[in-house]
Amino acid sequence: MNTIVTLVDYSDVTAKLIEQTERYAKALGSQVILVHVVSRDPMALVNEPASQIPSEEQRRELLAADFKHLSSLADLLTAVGVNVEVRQLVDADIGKALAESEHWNAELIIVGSHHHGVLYNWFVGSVTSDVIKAASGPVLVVPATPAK
Amino acid sequence: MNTIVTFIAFSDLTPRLIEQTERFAKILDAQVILAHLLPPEPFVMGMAGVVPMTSQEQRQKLIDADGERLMELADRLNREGLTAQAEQLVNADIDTALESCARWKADLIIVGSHHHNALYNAFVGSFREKLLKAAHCPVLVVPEIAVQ
Repeated sequence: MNTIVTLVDYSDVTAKLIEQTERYAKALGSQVILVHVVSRDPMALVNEPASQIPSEEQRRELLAADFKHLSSLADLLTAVGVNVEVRQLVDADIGKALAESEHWNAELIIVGSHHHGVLYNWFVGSVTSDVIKAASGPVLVVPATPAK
Repeated sequence: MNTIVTFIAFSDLTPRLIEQTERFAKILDAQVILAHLLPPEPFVMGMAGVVPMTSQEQRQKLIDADGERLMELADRLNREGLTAQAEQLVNADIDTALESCARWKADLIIVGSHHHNALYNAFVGSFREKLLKAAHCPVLVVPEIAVQ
Protein backbone atom coordinates (compact mmCIF):
# COMPACT_ATOMS: atom_id res chain seq x y z
CA MET A 1 0.00 0.00 0.00
CA ASN A 2 1.14 3.57 -0.67
CA THR A 3 2.25 5.52 2.37
CA ILE A 4 2.38 9.21 3.22
CA VAL A 5 4.45 10.31 6.22
CA THR A 6 3.30 13.63 7.73
CA LEU A 7 5.52 15.35 10.29
CA VAL A 8 3.39 17.32 12.76
CA ASP A 9 4.55 19.80 15.38
CA TYR A 10 1.26 21.22 16.76
CA SER A 11 1.89 24.70 15.41
CA ASP A 12 -0.64 26.94 13.65
CA VAL A 13 0.12 25.12 10.42
CA THR A 14 -1.17 21.79 11.83
CA ALA A 15 -4.78 22.21 10.66
CA LYS A 16 -3.54 22.88 7.12
CA LEU A 17 -1.17 19.90 7.31
CA ILE A 18 -4.02 17.59 8.28
CA GLU A 19 -6.24 19.05 5.54
CA GLN A 20 -3.56 18.51 2.85
CA THR A 21 -2.71 15.06 4.23
CA GLU A 22 -6.36 14.06 3.85
CA ARG A 23 -6.45 15.44 0.31
CA TYR A 24 -3.34 13.60 -0.88
CA ALA A 25 -4.10 10.37 1.04
CA LYS A 26 -7.46 10.19 -0.73
CA ALA A 27 -6.02 11.13 -4.13
CA LEU A 28 -3.15 8.61 -3.87
CA GLY A 29 -5.15 5.96 -2.00
CA SER A 30 -2.44 5.99 0.67
CA GLN A 31 -2.28 5.12 4.30
CA VAL A 32 -0.89 7.86 6.56
CA ILE A 33 1.74 7.75 9.29
CA LEU A 34 1.52 10.82 11.53
CA VAL A 35 4.94 11.38 13.07
CA HIS A 36 5.83 13.70 15.93
CA VAL A 37 9.48 14.14 16.80
CA VAL A 38 10.17 14.90 20.48
CA SER A 39 13.76 16.07 20.74
CA ARG A 40 16.21 15.18 23.51
CA ASP A 41 15.92 18.74 24.79
CA PRO A 42 14.37 18.39 28.30
CA MET A 43 12.29 21.50 27.59
CA ALA A 44 10.96 20.03 24.32
CA LEU A 45 7.40 19.55 25.55
CA VAL A 46 7.26 22.52 27.91
CA ASN A 47 5.07 25.36 26.69
CA GLU A 48 5.97 28.10 29.15
CA PRO A 49 9.42 29.48 28.39
CA ALA A 50 10.19 30.38 32.03
CA SER A 51 9.38 26.94 33.43
CA GLN A 52 11.87 24.74 35.24
CA ILE A 53 13.21 21.56 33.68
CA PRO A 54 10.51 18.92 34.27
CA SER A 55 11.15 15.94 36.53
CA GLU A 56 11.18 12.40 35.15
CA GLU A 57 7.59 11.95 36.22
CA GLN A 58 6.50 15.28 34.74
CA ARG A 59 8.25 14.37 31.49
CA ARG A 60 6.35 11.06 31.35
CA GLU A 61 3.10 12.99 31.84
CA LEU A 62 4.05 15.47 29.12
CA LEU A 63 4.88 12.62 26.74
CA ALA A 64 1.53 10.97 27.49
CA ALA A 65 -0.32 14.24 26.83
CA ASP A 66 1.69 14.69 23.63
CA PHE A 67 0.76 11.19 22.47
CA LYS A 68 -2.90 11.92 23.20
CA HIS A 69 -2.68 15.09 21.10
CA LEU A 70 -1.12 13.13 18.22
CA SER A 71 -3.84 10.49 18.49
CA SER A 72 -6.54 13.16 18.38
CA LEU A 73 -5.11 14.40 15.07
CA ALA A 74 -5.14 10.81 13.77
CA ASP A 75 -8.80 10.55 14.82
CA LEU A 76 -9.61 13.51 12.55
CA LEU A 77 -8.25 11.53 9.58
CA THR A 78 -9.88 8.26 10.63
CA ALA A 79 -13.22 10.11 10.79
CA VAL A 80 -12.94 10.98 7.08
CA GLY A 81 -12.04 7.43 6.09
CA VAL A 82 -8.24 7.66 5.95
CA ASN A 83 -6.21 4.71 7.23
CA VAL A 84 -3.79 6.24 9.76
CA GLU A 85 -1.16 5.24 12.32
CA VAL A 86 0.78 7.42 14.75
CA ARG A 87 4.45 7.36 15.74
CA GLN A 88 5.79 9.42 18.63
CA LEU A 89 9.57 9.46 18.20
CA VAL A 90 11.02 10.25 21.64
CA ASP A 91 14.59 11.61 22.00
CA ALA A 92 14.73 11.73 18.23
CA ASP A 93 15.73 14.11 15.47
CA ILE A 94 14.93 14.67 11.81
CA GLY A 95 17.25 11.77 10.88
CA LYS A 96 15.02 9.39 12.87
CA ALA A 97 11.91 10.81 11.21
CA LEU A 98 13.45 10.26 7.77
CA ALA A 99 14.49 6.73 8.77
CA GLU A 100 10.84 6.14 9.67
CA SER A 101 9.73 7.34 6.26
CA GLU A 102 12.35 5.08 4.61
CA HIS A 103 11.04 2.19 6.69
CA TRP A 104 7.52 2.78 5.36
CA ASN A 105 8.90 3.34 1.87
CA ALA A 106 6.90 6.58 1.90
CA GLU A 107 6.08 7.98 -1.52
CA LEU A 108 5.44 11.42 -0.06
CA ILE A 109 6.54 13.33 3.03
CA ILE A 110 4.38 16.26 4.14
CA VAL A 111 5.79 19.03 6.36
CA GLY A 112 4.71 22.51 7.38
CA SER A 113 6.59 25.66 6.47
CA HIS A 114 7.18 28.17 9.24
CA HIS A 115 8.12 31.64 8.30
CA HIS A 116 10.78 32.20 10.92
CA GLY A 117 13.16 35.13 10.68
CA VAL A 118 16.75 34.92 9.47
CA LEU A 119 18.12 34.87 13.03
CA TYR A 120 15.93 31.97 14.06
CA ASN A 121 16.93 29.98 11.01
CA TRP A 122 20.60 30.78 11.57
CA PHE A 123 20.61 29.43 15.13
CA VAL A 124 17.88 26.82 15.23
CA GLY A 125 17.90 25.77 11.61
CA SER A 126 14.81 25.00 9.68
CA VAL A 127 13.28 21.53 10.01
CA THR A 128 11.74 22.03 6.60
CA SER A 129 15.06 22.60 4.86
CA ASP A 130 16.67 19.71 6.77
CA VAL A 131 13.94 17.40 5.51
CA ILE A 132 14.25 18.69 1.95
CA LYS A 133 18.03 18.25 1.98
CA ALA A 134 17.95 14.70 3.29
CA ALA A 135 14.78 13.20 1.81
CA SER A 136 15.11 10.79 -1.10
CA GLY A 137 11.53 11.28 -2.26
CA PRO A 138 9.26 14.25 -2.95
CA VAL A 139 8.41 16.54 -0.02
CA LEU A 140 5.19 18.54 0.09
CA VAL A 141 5.69 21.80 2.01
CA VAL A 142 2.46 23.31 3.35
CA PRO A 143 2.54 27.06 4.05
CA ALA A 144 1.22 28.59 7.24
CA THR A 145 -0.33 31.43 5.25
CA PRO A 146 -3.86 30.80 4.00
CA ALA A 147 -4.19 29.14 0.60
CA LYS A 148 -6.00 31.16 -2.02
CA MET B 1 -10.15 22.60 -12.34
CA ASN B 2 -6.98 22.34 -10.28
CA THR B 3 -3.79 23.94 -11.54
CA ILE B 4 -0.18 22.88 -11.03
CA VAL B 5 2.65 25.31 -11.81
CA THR B 6 5.99 23.53 -12.32
CA PHE B 7 9.20 25.55 -12.48
CA ILE B 8 11.63 24.03 -14.95
CA ALA B 9 15.33 24.95 -14.83
CA PHE B 10 16.54 22.63 -17.63
CA SER B 11 18.86 20.66 -15.35
CA ASP B 12 19.50 16.95 -14.68
CA LEU B 13 16.42 17.12 -12.52
CA THR B 14 14.03 18.02 -15.35
CA PRO B 15 12.97 14.43 -16.24
CA ARG B 16 12.15 13.81 -12.57
CA LEU B 17 10.18 17.06 -12.33
CA ILE B 18 8.19 16.13 -15.44
CA GLU B 19 7.57 12.64 -14.06
CA GLN B 20 6.23 14.01 -10.74
CA THR B 21 4.22 16.71 -12.52
CA GLU B 22 2.54 14.07 -14.67
CA ARG B 23 1.83 11.95 -11.62
CA PHE B 24 0.32 14.75 -9.53
CA ALA B 25 -1.61 16.21 -12.48
CA LYS B 26 -3.29 12.84 -12.94
CA ILE B 27 -4.19 12.32 -9.28
CA LEU B 28 -5.38 15.91 -8.78
CA ASP B 29 -7.02 16.10 -12.22
CA ALA B 30 -5.09 19.31 -12.78
CA GLN B 31 -4.00 21.36 -15.75
CA VAL B 32 -0.25 22.03 -15.89
CA ILE B 33 1.67 25.24 -16.45
CA LEU B 34 5.34 24.61 -17.18
CA ALA B 35 7.11 27.82 -16.25
CA HIS B 36 10.68 28.78 -16.99
CA LEU B 37 12.27 31.79 -15.43
CA LEU B 38 14.85 33.67 -17.43
CA PRO B 39 16.57 36.19 -15.13
CA PRO B 40 17.47 39.67 -16.42
CA GLU B 41 20.65 39.47 -18.44
CA PRO B 42 23.93 40.24 -16.73
CA PHE B 43 25.57 43.59 -17.37
CA VAL B 44 29.27 44.46 -17.25
CA MET B 45 30.95 47.71 -16.31
CA GLY B 46 33.55 48.65 -18.89
CA MET B 47 35.14 51.47 -20.80
CA ALA B 48 31.86 52.07 -22.57
CA GLY B 49 29.91 52.28 -19.31
CA VAL B 50 27.40 49.64 -18.27
CA VAL B 51 26.73 47.33 -21.19
CA PRO B 52 24.89 44.01 -21.48
CA MET B 53 27.17 40.96 -21.68
CA THR B 54 25.33 39.59 -24.68
CA SER B 55 24.05 41.33 -27.78
CA GLN B 56 20.34 41.76 -28.23
CA GLU B 57 20.48 39.20 -31.03
CA GLN B 58 22.23 36.60 -28.85
CA ARG B 59 19.74 37.24 -26.08
CA GLN B 60 16.78 36.75 -28.43
CA LYS B 61 18.31 33.48 -29.69
CA LEU B 62 18.58 32.25 -26.09
CA ILE B 63 14.98 33.22 -25.36
CA ASP B 64 13.73 31.46 -28.50
CA ALA B 65 15.72 28.28 -27.82
CA ASP B 66 14.49 28.17 -24.22
CA GLY B 67 10.91 28.72 -25.36
CA GLU B 68 11.18 25.82 -27.79
CA ARG B 69 12.54 23.44 -25.16
CA LEU B 70 9.73 24.43 -22.84
CA MET B 71 7.10 23.83 -25.56
CA GLU B 72 8.58 20.38 -26.23
CA LEU B 73 8.16 19.44 -22.57
CA ALA B 74 4.56 20.72 -22.57
CA ASP B 75 3.85 18.75 -25.76
CA ARG B 76 5.15 15.61 -24.10
CA LEU B 77 2.63 16.04 -21.27
CA ASN B 78 -0.17 16.79 -23.73
CA ARG B 79 0.61 13.55 -25.55
CA GLU B 80 0.13 11.76 -22.21
CA GLY B 81 -3.42 13.09 -22.15
CA LEU B 82 -2.82 16.04 -19.83
CA THR B 83 -3.60 19.70 -20.45
CA ALA B 84 -0.25 21.50 -20.34
CA GLN B 85 0.90 24.97 -21.37
CA ALA B 86 4.33 26.58 -21.42
CA GLU B 87 4.97 29.96 -19.85
CA GLN B 88 8.27 31.70 -20.33
CA LEU B 89 9.00 34.38 -17.75
CA VAL B 90 11.59 36.65 -19.36
CA ASN B 91 13.62 39.11 -17.22
CA ALA B 92 11.86 37.61 -14.25
CA ASP B 93 12.63 37.13 -10.57
CA ILE B 94 10.97 35.45 -7.61
CA ASP B 95 8.19 38.08 -7.52
CA THR B 96 7.33 37.49 -11.17
CA ALA B 97 7.25 33.76 -10.44
CA LEU B 98 4.87 34.27 -7.50
CA GLU B 99 2.67 36.61 -9.56
CA SER B 100 2.42 33.90 -12.19
CA CYS B 101 1.34 31.34 -9.56
CA ALA B 102 -1.27 33.78 -8.25
CA ARG B 103 -2.54 34.55 -11.76
CA TRP B 104 -3.02 30.83 -12.48
CA LYS B 105 -4.51 30.33 -8.99
CA ALA B 106 -2.08 27.45 -8.48
CA ASP B 107 -3.20 24.66 -6.13
CA LEU B 108 0.28 23.17 -6.18
CA ILE B 109 3.73 24.44 -7.15
CA ILE B 110 6.42 21.90 -8.10
CA VAL B 111 10.13 22.77 -7.92
CA GLY B 112 13.37 20.88 -7.90
CA SER B 113 15.69 20.78 -4.92
CA HIS B 114 19.14 21.84 -6.01
CA HIS B 115 21.72 21.15 -3.37
CA HIS B 116 23.88 24.18 -3.77
CA ASN B 117 26.55 24.78 -1.17
CA ALA B 118 26.35 27.39 1.59
CA LEU B 119 28.51 29.89 -0.30
CA TYR B 120 26.27 29.75 -3.37
CA ASN B 121 23.17 30.16 -1.22
CA ALA B 122 24.68 33.08 0.71
CA PHE B 123 25.41 35.07 -2.44
CA VAL B 124 22.88 33.98 -4.99
CA GLY B 125 20.16 32.74 -2.68
CA SER B 126 18.02 29.76 -3.36
CA PHE B 127 14.98 30.20 -5.60
CA ARG B 128 13.37 27.24 -3.89
CA GLU B 129 13.82 28.70 -0.40
CA LYS B 130 12.42 32.07 -1.42
CA LEU B 131 9.47 30.34 -3.03
CA LEU B 132 8.82 28.26 0.10
CA LYS B 133 8.82 31.41 2.22
CA ALA B 134 6.36 33.32 0.07
CA ALA B 135 4.11 30.72 -1.54
CA HIS B 136 0.42 30.68 -0.65
CA CYS B 137 -0.19 27.10 -1.72
CA PRO B 138 1.63 23.82 -1.01
CA VAL B 139 4.97 23.37 -2.76
CA LEU B 140 6.20 19.94 -3.81
CA VAL B 141 10.00 19.75 -3.68
CA VAL B 142 11.48 17.03 -5.87
CA PRO B 143 14.94 15.77 -4.84
CA GLU B 144 17.82 15.04 -7.15
CA ILE B 145 18.51 11.59 -5.77
CA ALA B 146 16.53 8.60 -6.99
CA VAL B 147 12.98 8.14 -5.78
CA GLN B 148 12.32 4.54 -4.82
